[in-house]
Amino acid sequence: MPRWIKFLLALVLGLASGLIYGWLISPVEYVDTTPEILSMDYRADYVLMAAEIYASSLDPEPAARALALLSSLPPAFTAAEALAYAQASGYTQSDILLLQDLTSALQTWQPGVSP
Amino acid sequence: MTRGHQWLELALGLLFGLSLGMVIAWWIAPNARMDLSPAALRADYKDEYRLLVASAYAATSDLGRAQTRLSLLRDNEGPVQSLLDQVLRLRSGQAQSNIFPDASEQPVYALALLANALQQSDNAPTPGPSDTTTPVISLPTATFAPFALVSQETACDAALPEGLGRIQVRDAGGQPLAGVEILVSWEGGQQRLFTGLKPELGNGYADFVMAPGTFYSVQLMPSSTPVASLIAPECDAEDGAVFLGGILLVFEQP
Repeated sequence: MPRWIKFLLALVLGLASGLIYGWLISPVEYVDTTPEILSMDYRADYVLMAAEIYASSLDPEPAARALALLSSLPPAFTAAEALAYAQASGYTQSDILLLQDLTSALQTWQPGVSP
Repeated sequence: MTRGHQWLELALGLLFGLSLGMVIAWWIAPNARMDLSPAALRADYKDEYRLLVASAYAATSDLGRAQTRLSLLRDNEGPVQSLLDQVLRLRSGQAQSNIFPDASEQPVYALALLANALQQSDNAPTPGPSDTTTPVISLPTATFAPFALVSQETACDAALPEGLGRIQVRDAGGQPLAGVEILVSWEGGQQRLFTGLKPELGNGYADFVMAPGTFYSVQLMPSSTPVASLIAPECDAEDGAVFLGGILLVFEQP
């Protein structure tokens, strides 16, 4: 067998081993991250918590501040994104209603203006 | 070429491939299925997340959901201790909330409320009047001025739960103070309480249950003098039976 083929086989074997190790055995572990890179299911639950607080106080300000930690996009956009995820993922009707209410409130909310 | 050189080439190929694979797996294309859960958040963001969980609990009273959410943070010291530690950080000014920047007591109250509910769900000895009332989060501000014991009474009231240790905390003007941390210790254990978690009994009220024959010590945190050697008295009922009475401690800021 030509030498370069042996070298190539060794290279491919090493590459495969490196990928298996880095992806499966010891994958990247994120620490000290920001809420922005949470998985979508966790993001949606985060927004749901903000919606639960809003439903109790009817003050969109704390919810907007919480959502600002989650994304640099406008809070209404973040809430709408979570609402779409909740609808697609089979959240309960009551949770979807909470998210709808928060999304609606944030669409008309202006920072610094009390409800 | 010698056989030794051939082995060297193979080893180099293997090593180069391995390095390339790890660079791809760790930097260029990390595993997209990895768990980007709240456990990965930086400490200050974990505090905000914990506060959001507590505030949502204060709004909904859904303890199961709050427990599930807190478990996502995988706090080493456990959810209750993490909540109480955050209360102390907020009260001492070591931390503040971005979600509630203008409210000093609301975050403390929400965190303490959830910690108390979790302790009770773990069968911690804090019975007494039920906690079903959804509290109004509007409380006077407690400060770190030391408290003094102004009254200590035994109570032989058969209408109260047996061995009930009741604590009232007031400010210098005699107004009840919520959110004051109390450490109750006994041989082999201790329990943290917060005033104001039973608002139907007053914002400065907290209680705990004493076991018969056990000596307790009560200290208002962080620096008041402990009140030691507290024991539930034995009381005589009208029908001659003996039941376990309670105590009432009243603390005030000088």
